[in-house]
Amino acid sequence: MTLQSWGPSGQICVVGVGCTDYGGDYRPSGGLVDAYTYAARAFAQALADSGHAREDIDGLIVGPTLSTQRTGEILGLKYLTWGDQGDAMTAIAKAVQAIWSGMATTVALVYGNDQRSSRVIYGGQGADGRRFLPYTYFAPWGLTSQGALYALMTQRYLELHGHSPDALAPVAIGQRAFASLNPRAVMRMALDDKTYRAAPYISQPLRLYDYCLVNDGGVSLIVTSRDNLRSKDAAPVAIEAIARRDLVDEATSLRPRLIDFYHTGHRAVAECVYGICGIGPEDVKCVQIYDSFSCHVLFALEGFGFCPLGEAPIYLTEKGIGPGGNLAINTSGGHLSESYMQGWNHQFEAVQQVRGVCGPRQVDEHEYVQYISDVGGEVISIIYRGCS
Amino acid sequence: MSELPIRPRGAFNAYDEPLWRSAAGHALALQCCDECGRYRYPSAVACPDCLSFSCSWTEISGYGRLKAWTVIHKQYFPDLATPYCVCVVEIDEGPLLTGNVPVSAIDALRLEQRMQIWYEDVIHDNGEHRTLFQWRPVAE
Repeated sequence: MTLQSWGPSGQICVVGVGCTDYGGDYRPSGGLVDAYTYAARAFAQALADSGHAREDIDGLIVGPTLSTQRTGEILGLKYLTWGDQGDAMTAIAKAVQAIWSGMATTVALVYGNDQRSSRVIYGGQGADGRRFLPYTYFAPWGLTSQGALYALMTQRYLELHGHSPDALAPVAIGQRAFASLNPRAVMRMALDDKTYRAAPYISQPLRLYDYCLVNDGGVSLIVTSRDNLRSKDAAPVAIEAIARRDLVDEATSLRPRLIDFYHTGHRAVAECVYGICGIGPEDVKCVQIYDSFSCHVLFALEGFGFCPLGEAPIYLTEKGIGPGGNLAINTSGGHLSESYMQGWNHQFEAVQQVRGVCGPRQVDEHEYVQYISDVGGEVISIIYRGCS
Repeated sequence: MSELPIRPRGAFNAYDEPLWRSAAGHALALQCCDECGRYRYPSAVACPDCLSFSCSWTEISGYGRLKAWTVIHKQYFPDLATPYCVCVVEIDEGPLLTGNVPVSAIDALRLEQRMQIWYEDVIHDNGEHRTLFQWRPVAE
């Protein structure tokens, strides 16, 4: 199914964004913190950025770590006609749906996570399989971590196409270079090839720097319709296209991941979002890719048609994906180096890149900023564009 | 004190019960749809191809092809010493099944290699016994 015209296209905008100081909060301050701490700080910033008053907010969508009701209570949102919960990309889609359907006019998206200070463990006995069964089903064989599942996928990819494990290095190195230009990022020290290769394997072929951070933080966005703009300063950013394709057949036993590399989803979503905008991947100069692990970047580049199948490693080194490269990927440093906000910091960065306010890491000469994720075989892409 | 290796328990559902009984008998069986013949794994109430609620537990041949592997270096479980290797095999009947391969065998692994099932008795830390199915390369 393709969507050659999408009703909400360009009609609904992100009008405010906020986030916390990831790098600053990485050093324990001894102050009181929980997930709501970061959520509230980010919301206050986003609201100020949006020019809206708190009384205007009639929709609230929170991330998976928060309760909708408790968040609304803490933030004093007393006029909600729509409340929901979702991951970053789903939250954007749900905000569009709420506004487009007339069930809300001005939606706050709020995320906060205290995973580092509360010592969350990913994988092993702490694995949570409620949303994705493969995180716990294979525990008897010692397979529970998201990293190991992606390592299986990447190892197969490298074997199939005859690439060395070092093929992944440009992702971590390029994103770290962007993070070095980002005052908020957790990891800012330059990463070179030698340091990357010297780091231990966690689950082969993925090394330490191929894994995302685990850190505290919050992100918030305010979304409303184009005819409801309030801010005098911050530019609104239009949501031009959203599409999604879920690969569920044999998802638990990892077929979409291992055999398909999620490409069926990538292709279907690419056709939709590019079709809606009337563009192709060659028109995208700045892309935010959900990078719980560096390998996501390779599979997205191939699946969305930035380069031929099997050739992402060549693309990475020949075209360049860091500052000054041919295609700017994860321009804040992404999950690997800026902050692991489960896709929420990617939405923030996409908006800021469209607005042109990213300073030294600003990508010039682009009209669209694309977001891509394929976590667990749920492929989603969002295309943002300036409101003309 | 048991001499069996201690292994974590997985998140199994009610429909996995016959699967584990068949493994204990060293004759792994999976659900085969009575309407369309599709084998499915993990175990479930219905067939994803034709939605039939009727299936028969059918012993698999025990052969397949190696599709992926990874060597895990991080200690996720106290009783699983690192490094250890996890592999995924596509059995001749269709589904993908997981297993462990000895780290000493890593260098000889090749994609699409023929693999054969074997059975390993383990115990969970609640005392529950289990027979895991594992994979090794078919002897050339």
